[in-house]
Amino acid sequence: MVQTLKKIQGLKIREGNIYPILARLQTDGLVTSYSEASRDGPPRKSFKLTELGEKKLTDMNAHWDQIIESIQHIRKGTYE
Amino acid sequence: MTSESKTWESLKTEYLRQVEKALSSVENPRKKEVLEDVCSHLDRRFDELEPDQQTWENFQAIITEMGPASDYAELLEPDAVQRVRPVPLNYLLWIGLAVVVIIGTAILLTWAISDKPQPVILEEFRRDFPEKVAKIKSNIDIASLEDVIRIFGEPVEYIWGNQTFQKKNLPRRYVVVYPGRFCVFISEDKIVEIRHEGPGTGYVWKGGLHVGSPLEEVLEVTGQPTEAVEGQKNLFEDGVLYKDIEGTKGYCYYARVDQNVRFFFWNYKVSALYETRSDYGEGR
Repeated sequence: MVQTLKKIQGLKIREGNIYPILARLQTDGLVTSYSEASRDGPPRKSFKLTELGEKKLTDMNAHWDQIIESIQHIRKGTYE
Repeated sequence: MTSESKTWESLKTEYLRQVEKALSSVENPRKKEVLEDVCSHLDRRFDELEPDQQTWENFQAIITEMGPASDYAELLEPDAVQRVRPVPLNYLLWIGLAVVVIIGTAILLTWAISDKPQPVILEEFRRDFPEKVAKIKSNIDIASLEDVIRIFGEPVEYIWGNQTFQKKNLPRRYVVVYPGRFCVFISEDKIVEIRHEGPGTGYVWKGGLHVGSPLEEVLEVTGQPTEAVEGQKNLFEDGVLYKDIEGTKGYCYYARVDQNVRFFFWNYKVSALYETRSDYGEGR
C-alpha cells in the first residue's frame, strides 16, 4: 500500500503515515483488517472496506467532484 | 547479532520510543496496534537490505522516510487532525479509502486471473504434480532454478515483495510462482523451500495433510509441540506452536524442522504448507 501511494505523482506521504490513517479508518468502522499467507514469507495484514466505508467513499468522492466542479467554474468564470 | 544489526536495533528502538511517547497523549484504542505495525514495517525494511547495504546511512534513510514521530499522534487523534491540518489530512483519508479500493480490486483481479479463468493451465499444471514435487524434494538441497523449470515448466512470474522480475535479472532472493498458488523460494541460487499456498494443486503431504487441514490434525500427524504460546508475537521457533498470534484468533504457526515442514494457519486451518531444505534454519 505504501509503495502504491509513493508512486502517485504529487502526493507526498511518509511511509509511517499509512498506519495511523488505517487505524483511524478501522476505529471509525470504515475498514477491517485480516491476515493472510504471503508469497514471500510470514502472512501479511490486509485491509478491506466495510459497507460503511463504501458509503463514506461514495460520499467523499461526490464531495471531491463537487469541489473540482466548483473550482472549474471559478477558473472559467462561469460561476454567475 | 552483527554490529550492523545492533546499530539498526538501536536506531529502531529509539524511533519506536519517540513514536510511543508521541502517542502517549492519544486516546485511540488502536495506538498499540499502530506501534506494532510500525515495528513490523521497520523489520521488513531491514530484511530487504542486502548485506552490503546495511550501513548507518541507509538505516537513517529508512527512519527518515517513516516521518517524524509527531505525525502519528496528529493522524491518529481526530481532534488534533481537525485542529492542526484539516485539508491535507482529509485528503489523505480520502486517498487511504481510494487505495483500499484499488488494492482490493487488484487482489480480486489477481485471484480471478490466477484461480478461475485459467482452468486449462491449472489442470495441465496439476498433471503428475505429486510426482513432480517428489522429484524436486529428493534433490531439494542441490537443485537449482533450472531444475525447478525442468520439472515444473516455465513459471507464471518471479517475485520478491511487491516487485516482479525477469529471469535474466533476478535478485539474490526471489519466489518462483506457479499456477494454483504453488511457489518455490530461492535464495543465493539455492532452494530454501517449496510453498503450497492454496488448495488449487490438490497436493497432499504426509498423513493426508493439505491446505485446509485443521490444526488438530496437523499436530496428530507431525507430533505435539515442545511449547504452545498463545496471543504472542510469532518468533518462528522450531517446535513451538504459536496460537492466536498477537491476539488474532485462528492465526497460528507451527514448524517442524525435523520433518522439513512449516505451517501457517488461518481460522485454525492450514493456509500455507512450506516444505524446507534439510538444513533449513541452521545459522539463524
